[in-house]
Amino acid sequence: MSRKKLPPEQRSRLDRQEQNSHNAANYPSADQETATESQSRLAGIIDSAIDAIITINAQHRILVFNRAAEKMFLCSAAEAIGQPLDRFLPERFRPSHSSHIQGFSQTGVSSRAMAGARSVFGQRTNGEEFPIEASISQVETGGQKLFTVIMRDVTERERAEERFRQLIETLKEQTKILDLAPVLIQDLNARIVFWNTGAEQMYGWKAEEVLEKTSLSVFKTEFPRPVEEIKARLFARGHWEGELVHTRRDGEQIVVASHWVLHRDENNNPKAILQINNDITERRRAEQEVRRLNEELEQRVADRTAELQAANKELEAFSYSVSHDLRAPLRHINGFSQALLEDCNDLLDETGKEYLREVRSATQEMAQLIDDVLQLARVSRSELHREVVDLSDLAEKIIAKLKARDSTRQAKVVLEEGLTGAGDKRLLGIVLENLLGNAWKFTSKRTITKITLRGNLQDGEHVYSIEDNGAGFDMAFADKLFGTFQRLHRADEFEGTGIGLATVQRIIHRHGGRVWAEGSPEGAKFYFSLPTRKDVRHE
Amino acid sequence: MNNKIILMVEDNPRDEALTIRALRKSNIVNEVVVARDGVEALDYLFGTGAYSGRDSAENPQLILLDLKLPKVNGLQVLERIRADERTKRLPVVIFTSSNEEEDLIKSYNLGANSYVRKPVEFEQFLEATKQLGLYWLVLNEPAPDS
Repeated sequence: MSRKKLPPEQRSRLDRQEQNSHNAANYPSADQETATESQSRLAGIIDSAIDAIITINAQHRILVFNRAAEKMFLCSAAEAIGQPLDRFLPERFRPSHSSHIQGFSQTGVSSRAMAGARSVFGQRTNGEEFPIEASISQVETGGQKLFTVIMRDVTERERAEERFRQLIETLKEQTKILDLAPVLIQDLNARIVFWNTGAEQMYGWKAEEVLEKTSLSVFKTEFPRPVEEIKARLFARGHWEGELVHTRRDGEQIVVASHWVLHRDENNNPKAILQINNDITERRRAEQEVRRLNEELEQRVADRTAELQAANKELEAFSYSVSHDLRAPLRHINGFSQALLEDCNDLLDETGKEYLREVRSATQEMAQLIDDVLQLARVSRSELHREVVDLSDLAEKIIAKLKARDSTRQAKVVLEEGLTGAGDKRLLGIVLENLLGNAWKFTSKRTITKITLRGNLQDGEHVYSIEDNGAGFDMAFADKLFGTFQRLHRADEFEGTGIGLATVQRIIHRHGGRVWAEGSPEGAKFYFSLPTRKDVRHE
Repeated sequence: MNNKIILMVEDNPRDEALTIRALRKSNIVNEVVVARDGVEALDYLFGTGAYSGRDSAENPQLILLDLKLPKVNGLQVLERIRADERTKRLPVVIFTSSNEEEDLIKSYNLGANSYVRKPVEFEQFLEATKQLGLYWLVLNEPAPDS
């Protein structure tokens, strides 16, 4: 960095400086050199110095003002030379400064640092104060005392020092925080060599009680796996993490999340093991509780499922038995009543015969009731096999059956073509059988039976309607329509078990649809809806 | 060849009586052998047990088989009938109270020739019996004896 040769303009500036001074500075000269050469070299050295160098005479007038001084004080040498040094000191230091130099002058010491270097301030020409480190030296030449002050701007250094002080503060803070975490260090023989406040608080022992003891003897550690294995891993990877069971001073066992870090010396030889242990007993306890509750819940669900399956099985067996065993006696009552009518015809009067006919008719009703109840039970538990169902086609087949059973009926049946719905074909068949069957039944007293099936898309669902010109119903009882065993007509008007519409409702609800009805003395209109399902594939 | 025996596998004496009554009323006068459980039915067919010594080559013309039977149930009987060379071609009509889908499917899977649910109403019962008799005993050509 130092320049060996001074550029010409600087040389001339120094020359000018010398001329400006009343007494040309006497630079030491080597015997071998001419005075000019020596002076010029010295001037070069002074000018290239990093520190500001100012030489003053006994009257504190500036004789030399180097380049660094120019930069530091924002003042050219030309301007500075001849000025009192005070000019570059803050106002408040000026009086004491003069006496300092005076005092220094009387010591006879050739040089010393100024004022412990710390409390000295300079002032730039723009008024800005800045900390400086300065030393002063004195020489006597030609009977005149010259003082040379060498100054360094330490603003940056002080700032750096301030930052360092803050860093230390922060570190101290952090160390305090770290103290909250239980930290211990053990040597390779597992003897505890460091024990912080956090460890003391968690375990209950003071450092002097545990130092030099092995951690195993202190904690009665229970390892999750052989300790050799843990150590092997620690030495291989430099750290280990796991859960240990430790016993505290008060005898209570705690679960700790333990983090081990292996310390190595500068030669990379293992030296010590740092352990940070956190008490996670509560967390473990809570987790265990959650696990236990979960297991309990799962067990309960499993139990309930088993119970439900058993109940379902029982119900199936029951249904089977009902369908099989309950019908047999009815068949016998009916059959033997008929046998009685035929074989003992002569012994019975008209009333007796009528009674037997009633018996037979009652058995038929009961048989129908059994079938309907069973169907209701079946539609509730059977699995849904969803597909796209051609409802128009199903309806047509049902109407054909109804017409065949009742060939004298005059009927005008309109079935909208191409109606489809997403659902279980068999179950939707039961829906249509019931609704169309009802329409057929309740129009039996009309001269001409009119039944209409329609469908359309409304608000994202398919809505279908079956309208008839039958007996209708009183809207005041509309909420009873779909209840099991609910009938709105007397048995002597229209036969029925009161289960059909309950079955319809259950099927539609299982499909995620709705069912409702409008009634008047002129007829009834039943609606049901089915959600549109994009994922239902066409057959 | 024995004259067109009907083997009725039926555990309920009332059903037995009503069925025979219905057959007779339909002018079906064939001999009716009644087996009251599955074991008896198999014994009859294979000449074993109570029927040991019976010529098992003499097969009935028609078997009316109830499903719900003591000891060996109807489906098991059907399975044995179909598994045996001597009986596998015999017409078997399931004649039962049940119309459970599962019973229907199992019966047909095991090779039942027909499935008729016994109607509660006797007139319908009579009609069903008559049709069965007419079809299987008169109209239907049985497989030739091997």
